[in-house]
Amino acid sequence: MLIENPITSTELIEVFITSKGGVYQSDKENCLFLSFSGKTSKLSFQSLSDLKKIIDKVDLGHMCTLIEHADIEIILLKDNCYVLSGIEIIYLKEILHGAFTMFRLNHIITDCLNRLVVS
Amino acid sequence: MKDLMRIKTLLSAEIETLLNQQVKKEAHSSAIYLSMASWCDRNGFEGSADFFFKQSNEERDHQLKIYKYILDMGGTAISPEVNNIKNEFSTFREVFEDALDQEIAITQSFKNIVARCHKEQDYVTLEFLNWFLREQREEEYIARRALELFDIIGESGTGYWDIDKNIGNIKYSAE
Ligand SMILES: [Fe+2]
Ligand SMILES: [Fe+2]
Repeated sequence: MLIENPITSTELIEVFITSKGGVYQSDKENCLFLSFSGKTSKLSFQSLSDLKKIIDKVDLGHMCTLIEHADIEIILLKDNCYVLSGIEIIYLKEILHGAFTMFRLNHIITDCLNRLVVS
Repeated sequence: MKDLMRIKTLLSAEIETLLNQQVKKEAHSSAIYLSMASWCDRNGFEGSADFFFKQSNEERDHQLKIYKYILDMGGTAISPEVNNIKNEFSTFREVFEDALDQEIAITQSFKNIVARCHKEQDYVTLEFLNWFLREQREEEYIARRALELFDIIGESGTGYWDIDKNIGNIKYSAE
């Protein structure tokens, strides 16, 4: 599905979305857009996978025990900064897992198609 | 849709993780050999201390070789934390028993990565790993031979002295 990006009006491909946000890809710019909690950030593939690694490492169990004080996680990633609550971490985790599953699927499909062309 | 994942790196997430784990294992090996060198030196086994210093350097080289491969292939190499290094050994023989255990664990670990490469048809990484498989043949041979000296020379009398003198002479020739 193609959508119009409100910011740069580049054609974006939907990679994976949930009701809380999503990841879009720009083939023109070789980059990704993460739309989450009211903001859209432009990220390289490297940055998005770095973000996924950070999010996967967040200890939600430990965060929950801190609820009375502040169940907040601050994530600094190059030019971006995310301040996320426990529930937001869960939502973001779902989006990122979905997106990377789609990247893997896309890789498998691209690979199959390339092999077909050759034979 | 462009395959941005593949454009970024040749390595799958799983292989990258396994290679980073191997980087950590090589760093761990390097640190263990260093601690063995220290133990041997302070207990008067100078030949063995030299032997373990050399081993430690080799493990560091292995670590860097994998580290650079990950980066060259577009992956993310992670500088490992190394902890839980055993510093005390009860006997001279135990040092070499541990060294052989260590090498066996490393060989097993490489076999596991190679199996994963076959599964994913990652023949590029497979070819890279061939060097390590060959290296492990030598590493295991030397560690096993060193331990064998304890039985051949014997541990009584000047046994330890002779073993220590001969550790550095162990050579492996594949031909
Ligand atoms: Fe090694
Ligand atoms: Fe080794």
